[in-house]
Formats: sequence, C-alpha cells, structure tokens
Amino acid sequence: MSANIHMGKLEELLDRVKRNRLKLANERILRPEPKAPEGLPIPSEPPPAIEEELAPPPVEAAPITEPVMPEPVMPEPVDEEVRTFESTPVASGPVAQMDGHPTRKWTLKAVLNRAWNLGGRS
Amino acid sequence: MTQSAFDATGFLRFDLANGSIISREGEQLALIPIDLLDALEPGEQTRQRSVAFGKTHGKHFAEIIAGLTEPPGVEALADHLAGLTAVFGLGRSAVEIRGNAILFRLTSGRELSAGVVTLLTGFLAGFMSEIEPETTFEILHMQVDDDGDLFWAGNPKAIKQVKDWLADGVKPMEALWLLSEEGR
Repeated sequence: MSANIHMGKLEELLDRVKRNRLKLANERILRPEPKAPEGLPIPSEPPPAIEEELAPPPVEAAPITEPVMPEPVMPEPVDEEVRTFESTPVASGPVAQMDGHPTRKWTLKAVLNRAWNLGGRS
Repeated sequence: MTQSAFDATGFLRFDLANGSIISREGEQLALIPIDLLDALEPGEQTRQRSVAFGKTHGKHFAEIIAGLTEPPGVEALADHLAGLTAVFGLGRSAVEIRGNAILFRLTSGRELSAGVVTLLTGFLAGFMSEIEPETTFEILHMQVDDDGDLFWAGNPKAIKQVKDWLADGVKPMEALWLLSEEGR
C-alpha cells in the first residue's frame, strides 16, 4: 500500500516537473532571444531612444554678450563753449602807429573823431 | 574795469539737442567750410546783412566800453576786433593809424573773395557806426599786400573822394595822404 502511495506521489512530482519544463519552453518560444543581423555584433546596450537619435549634437553655448552698438558720434562738449585761446581766452589786437604819433595817449573817442573828420564831411 | 580785452569765454554755445550754435549776442551761427563763404555773392543783400551783423557786435562793444571807469584807448578797439575776427575764423586783425586815418589790417593767409570782402566791409561799417552814434563810417578795401588786406574807415564824402583818386590811378596810401593834405 505504502508503495502505491509513494508511486502516486512520484508520478505527481514528475507531472509537475514536466509542466514546469513545458511552461519554460513555451516562454522561450514566445520571447526569443534577440539575434543580431549577420555580421553585426549583438549590441551590449539597448539602442538609444529615437528622441536621442534625432536630437542635435550638443553645441557649446556661446557666451552671452551685450550687443555691440556703435558709439553715437557727438561733438565733444567743451563746457558748452569754444575756447579758442589755449592759455587765456583773451585776445590782444596790435595797434600799429605808422607815422610815429603816440597813439597810446589818444582815447578811442579822439581817434574816431579825427578819422571821421578826415577829408571834411561836406 | 579799466581794460576791455576780448574774452572768448562763452562766445559760442553748442545746443546739441536743438542742433544749433548760438553766439553770445544771440545770433544763430553755422560752422561751414570757408570755401563756401568764398562763394558768397558780393551784392547789396550781402552788404546789408553784413552791416547788421557788425552793428550787433558794435553795440556789444559800445556797452563794454561804456562800463569802463577810464576812457578806453584805441587798443580796446583793436583787442575786440582781433578777438571777433579770430573766433569767426576770418583771420588776425590789427588796427593801423596813419595820420588821422584809421585802418584795419586783416591777415588770413588766403586770398579774400569778393563776397568775403563785402562781408568784411559791411561788418566793419556796422561795427564802427555803433561805437560813435553820430558817425556812419563807411569802409573801403584799400589794398592787398604781403601782410594781408587793408581796410580804411572814413566818412562817406572822403570815401568817395579816395575812390575817385584810386580810379585815376593814385596809389591807396598816396590817396590817404592827399586827403589829409586837403583838410589842412
């Protein structure tokens, strides 16, 4: 009796092993191992995602610089005035006495009166 | 104040916002190549505007000498005119006295065109007429020599007489001598 019992368990175990093997075989059929095309090695890493392939190669970003604007051409302000004379803005006009008379003793009014009356007025 | 030397401080004001140049006397000016000034027409319109130009500056000079504590000498006139001709870029001016005649010598290093001569004679006439209110000086361009251009200021009758002598071939300085001899 006991031998029958043992034989029954043994058969049950064998059936379980068979089913497991069959199951494993089925799984292999449904999920075959990847095969590389002839002549090509099997990639060790998964292919990159499509997005990565389409993405442009990284470009080193140019440094951000301020736009170069041309300097406005403006006359140099000279304190809003023209200083013609370098050392002093005071001009000195020479007076040439052509006939030896000392003009420095004459006032401007006297000089102009004499000049005005030269040759008579009427 | 006993002196009246020309002071160029603030003579020109550059109004960059409005694009204008204003003189101390309120004139609106323009900086242009002097070659363009040479193209000035020597007509009556140029003369009249030049006289007005001179009057403006003669009036200012008259105000300056009116504020002096002592009667100015002829040096004051020479100084002021030298400053004006310098800031206008027209040349270096000096006053010459020959007998009773007063003359202005302008040294510019260039040959003055007829238009510029008209400008200068008009300017000097207007300027001189504002110094002494009872005078109306006229200006005659007398001669050009190595030292520049010589302008003489005289009354209208004397100017006409000298012009006639010059037309007859009398030399400019001889004409002034003749004029002084006639008045003796």
